[in-house]
Amino acid sequence: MTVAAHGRGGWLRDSGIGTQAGTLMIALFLAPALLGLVAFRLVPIAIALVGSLFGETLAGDLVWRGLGNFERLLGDPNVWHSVRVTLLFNLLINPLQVLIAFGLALLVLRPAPGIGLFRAAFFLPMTLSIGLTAMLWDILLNQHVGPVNALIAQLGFARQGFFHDENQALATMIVIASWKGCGYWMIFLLAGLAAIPEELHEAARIDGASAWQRLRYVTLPLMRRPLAFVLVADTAANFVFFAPVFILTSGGPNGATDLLMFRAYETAFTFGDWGRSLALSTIILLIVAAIAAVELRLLRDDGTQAG
Amino acid sequence: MLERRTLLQGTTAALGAAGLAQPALAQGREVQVVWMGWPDGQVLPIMQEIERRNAGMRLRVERFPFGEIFQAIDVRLQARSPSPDIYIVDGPLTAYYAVRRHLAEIEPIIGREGMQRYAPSVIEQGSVGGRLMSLPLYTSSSVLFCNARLFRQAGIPIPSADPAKRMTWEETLELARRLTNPAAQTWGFVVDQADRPYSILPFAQSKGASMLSADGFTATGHVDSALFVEAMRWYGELYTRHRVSPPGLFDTALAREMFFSGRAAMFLAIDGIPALAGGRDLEWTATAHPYFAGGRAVTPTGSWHIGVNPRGTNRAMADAFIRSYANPEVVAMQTRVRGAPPTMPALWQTMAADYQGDFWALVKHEIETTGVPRPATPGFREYEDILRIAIREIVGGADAGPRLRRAAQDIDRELQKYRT
Repeated sequence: MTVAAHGRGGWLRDSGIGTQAGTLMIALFLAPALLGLVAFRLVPIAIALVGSLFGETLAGDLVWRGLGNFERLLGDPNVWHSVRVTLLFNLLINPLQVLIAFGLALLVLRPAPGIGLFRAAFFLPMTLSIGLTAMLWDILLNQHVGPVNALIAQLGFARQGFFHDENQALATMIVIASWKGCGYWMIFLLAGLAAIPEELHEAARIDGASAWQRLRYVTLPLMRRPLAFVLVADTAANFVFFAPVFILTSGGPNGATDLLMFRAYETAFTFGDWGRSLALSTIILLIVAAIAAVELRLLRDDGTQAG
Repeated sequence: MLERRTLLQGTTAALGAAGLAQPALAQGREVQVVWMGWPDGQVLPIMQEIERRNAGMRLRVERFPFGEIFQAIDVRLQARSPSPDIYIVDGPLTAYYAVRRHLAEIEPIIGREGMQRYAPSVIEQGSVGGRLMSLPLYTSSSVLFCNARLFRQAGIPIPSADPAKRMTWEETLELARRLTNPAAQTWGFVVDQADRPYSILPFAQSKGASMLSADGFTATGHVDSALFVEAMRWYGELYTRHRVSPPGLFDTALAREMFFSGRAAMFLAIDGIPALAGGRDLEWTATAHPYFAGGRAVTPTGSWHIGVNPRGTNRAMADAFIRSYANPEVVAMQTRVRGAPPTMPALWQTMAADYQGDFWALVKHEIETTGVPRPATPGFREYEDILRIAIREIVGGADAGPRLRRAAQDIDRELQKYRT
């Protein structure tokens, strides 16, 4: 048959890969993406790494600090508090978002009348800017004039502080971040689910597998790669979660939402200490890299993948 | 003989050079000014007057809201940018900018004679190490404005403007309780700058608390002292326990609108409120800034100043701007449109017609007797920002004790760099 005759090897031969011209062509096609990667990822990382070793005098002269910025950060109990809050935030939000996104993807996978509307509705929050999202939820959850609290009061319960309550602020941040983010991650998982051949489910069904067994033994193993991508990307995104904290809580109440990214911003733009801020950014980068490595290892590809 | 091509090239080059020279000339005369986002009527007439007094000067004025202006200025100055040429300076921030070399000295521009026209208190606020680094623009005080109509409706006598009949905070709270009407969405007591140390420090100062160590570098033992905590707890409870003040209202423009629209019975605010009220249908009176029973009367005071960026590429014009702004006629004009107390004592007499009545007598009395400036420290920017967030949280319900202890630690950490 035509497909078997060409196969992957045939396509490779036809493309000229392996020849000098073919290699040049590949390099040309990859160049824009690689240049973007270098300019917008590697160069800023290099700037952060180098900059974290320097400081600035009040008069603006650059001075070498070596590991001094890191020493100062590690000796500050408030930074450790910030690390704890950031880790707790990520420990809760990342699995939660992936779980909800996966659930939503399963819900809207099967073709049905109006399914496009549901998919769009789940994705819609992603189209709002994060600043607008923060303001919107601040109004909705306002303790005195917000409709959510009005409903709570109508039901006979005490009005809640949400962003302004030390015990609720972090959870509220997680809720609004998930409201905005889950639909986005759902799209990636939906693509992964759609790529699983229907025959596999069909075969499992004929063999008498229940819906749970099909999910556990067919869908999940084949979703490892998309799940790994979403988990790692989500982790990276949530470690630099910033705007709602900046707009609504400034790290409070009483440090409840004192995430590392906000602290890095505050250190640079309020306290004017660029070296210390870049050292914080470097610490965030190292934590994300370490966690991403663990996540990738846990969801390691065993060769049977969808997508 | 001139060839046609050479002629064409020469003409093109000449036209090009002329074209380039035009913006350069314009740049030489254009003064970039970063200013507060005050209403047009309080800014534009003065800027036009300064342009009129300096032939060829063109001012490019960027105005920022109160909540954004300090960061907007900081980002540019910290980049060691030549822009802006001129920027507005909150008085206590003078040392902050000066130690970073963001300010050119003012005395060489206006001379000793020019400096002597100003009140010593405003010169002191603009000076660092005995050198005047920012030109005083306004000074200020704070009084308790009352909505006379709401008082009458509640059957409460309107408080006197006589500073000798100053109310205590405890009495003020009692009035606020009676004047708060949730059904009518009317609050008993609203603060103009509900999270800013300018408005809030006097609560603690009235109890006798200190704001910062004498050398200006240590907050621990001061902003977390028992008296400070007690005052801030009392302030926070206005919002959380007594519910006489609107929580989460930190925008000065919104707070003022609340008073102007008759939804705030008592309004603790700067003296410029009557000028801002304009032709609004508002029947207001003023009474002295309250104090805690057993404590002392303290009112905030302080001045806005003007700074010159020493890296500006247009120093001659920037200096001319400052000289114009130091002219008593311009100061009088500025003071009049803003409705602020004058920075030059002589203007109390020459502008006597503008300063008549109980209200101005009260303001003058407060500036001269109870006014206390914010703490002097080169780290005021950090001090204010950290404390502002702590105050916000206390108003939101956080326990004042631990929150201020944390704020004190944060301030100490940030002030360390000024010790060297």
